[in-house]
Amino acid sequence: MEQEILYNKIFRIVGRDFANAGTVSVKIKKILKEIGIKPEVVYRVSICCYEAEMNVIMYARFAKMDFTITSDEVIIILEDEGPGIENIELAMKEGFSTATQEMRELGFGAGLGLPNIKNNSDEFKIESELLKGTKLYFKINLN
Amino acid sequence: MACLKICPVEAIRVRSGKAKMLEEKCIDCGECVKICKTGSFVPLTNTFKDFSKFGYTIAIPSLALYTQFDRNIKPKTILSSLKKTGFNEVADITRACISVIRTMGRYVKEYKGRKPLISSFCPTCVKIIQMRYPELIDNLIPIISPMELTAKESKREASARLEIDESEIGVIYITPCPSKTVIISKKTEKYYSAFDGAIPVSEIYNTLYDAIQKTVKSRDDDFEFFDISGFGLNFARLGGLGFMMNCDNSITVSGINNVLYILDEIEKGKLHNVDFVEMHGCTEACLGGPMNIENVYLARTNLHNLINYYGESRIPFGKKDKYETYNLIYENMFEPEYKDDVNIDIKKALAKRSERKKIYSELPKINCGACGSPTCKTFAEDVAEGELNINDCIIITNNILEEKLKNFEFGMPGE
Repeated sequence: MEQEILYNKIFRIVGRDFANAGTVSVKIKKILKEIGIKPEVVYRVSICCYEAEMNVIMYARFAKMDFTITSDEVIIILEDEGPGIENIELAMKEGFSTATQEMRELGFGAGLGLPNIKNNSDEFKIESELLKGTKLYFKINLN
Repeated sequence: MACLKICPVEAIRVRSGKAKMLEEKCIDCGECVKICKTGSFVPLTNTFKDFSKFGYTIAIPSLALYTQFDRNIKPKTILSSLKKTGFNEVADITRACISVIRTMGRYVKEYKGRKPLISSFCPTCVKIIQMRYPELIDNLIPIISPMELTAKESKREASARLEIDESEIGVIYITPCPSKTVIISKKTEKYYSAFDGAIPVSEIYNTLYDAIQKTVKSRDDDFEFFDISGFGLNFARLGGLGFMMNCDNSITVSGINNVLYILDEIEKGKLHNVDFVEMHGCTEACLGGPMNIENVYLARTNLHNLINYYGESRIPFGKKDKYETYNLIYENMFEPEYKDDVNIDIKKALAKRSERKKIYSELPKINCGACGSPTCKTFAEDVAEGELNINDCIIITNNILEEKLKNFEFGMPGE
């Protein structure tokens, strides 16, 4: 059964835009806070969004983040144009990272991004096509 | 009305001429206490009377107390005079500071998780993180503060020496900080304060000042010995934590608005390459506490002079660490803090949000505060909640009146 969409917004994220890194997840967090959603849920959503956003900024060229609230869940679909992931199973492993030295110096690339999203969401799907892009889908229950 | 604007978390409303605080928003920073001229905001503290029930009392002053007097008055004199004001014992915390810093330095070095680590000694900063940035709780260093360590130990020592029960010993903190009192009065299951109460520096100042004058005259503090470490005094200095830990990749932030700004930056992931952030709600750390007497700049000079007087620029060599064997790190010391809402109706909540937005769009957005809410945004919230009417905005009412005046025809009725 399709759920009624109560709120929907699309955010755009540009790759390599380190100056604006994290702004989308902060915006999402603010919206959820304003609605009055449980802080525990807000916390999980913002961690997931942050990790997803950073992945785009570090590796992809451009991405569209579709943020939806229904009566009992938050759904986020992130589609990016980028290099894609060669081996999804490996990318899901904690500690695995393809980050460059430069990214590591900035404090990223610990290899915890995707596993962190998976651990903090209630439903998680990832599809990727090499050289084309990655599609990320995750859902967090509100209650 | 100054408090309305100063509150960094917009927790104050003025209704029918009286300031009101929204407790669920308050972070105990004491900014309103600092600015209040009418005595509406008074910190929660104890007085001497509260401690008459204890058979034996131990006073532990904050390092800020050492900086409150003339530069020639040394901590030794202050401590022995403090004892004379009516305590059985006084204890200094500088040794504990060094132990805590040692452990903290190790913790920072060995830490493998998400950076930066955040100092947890300012109760206000901890509370902001617990309430507004729960995702940063793991970044707080879960370490016991030197005052707590000293309190715990002096209590244990005194109870063993005098062979009395620990409950008969009252340990009192001489505090520059209203937030600390809240922490002391709060007891959670996992962690509670070893202090039994707190007296503000401002409350004890006059009595102590007299006692100091007498001590200086009689010079009877010459026979007392307090184990004070000059290096430990750096703990009270702004930027002292990073300096003491010898952590060159650290930043220091003080002042509540700066703290909020830096927390936003950390949340956005901008400071991932910094190892350690020292955070203080008050400008110039605890020296700027609202319950201090001396102005913060003079206090800072006094502190620098004291550090120079002792002349220790690193951890004193060959001195045994008094608390070396203690466990100072408490896992899960801090937990998120917010009111646990029952499951909300998202549809209604969203409707309310758009209502707030609609009201806000009609407002002048000059944040004048004449309505008694600090900003137009909070006014919109209050109207949406039904607490205020949109006509409580003087600009809107003025516009309505002007409109009416324009359409008003002058002339005699019936003409």
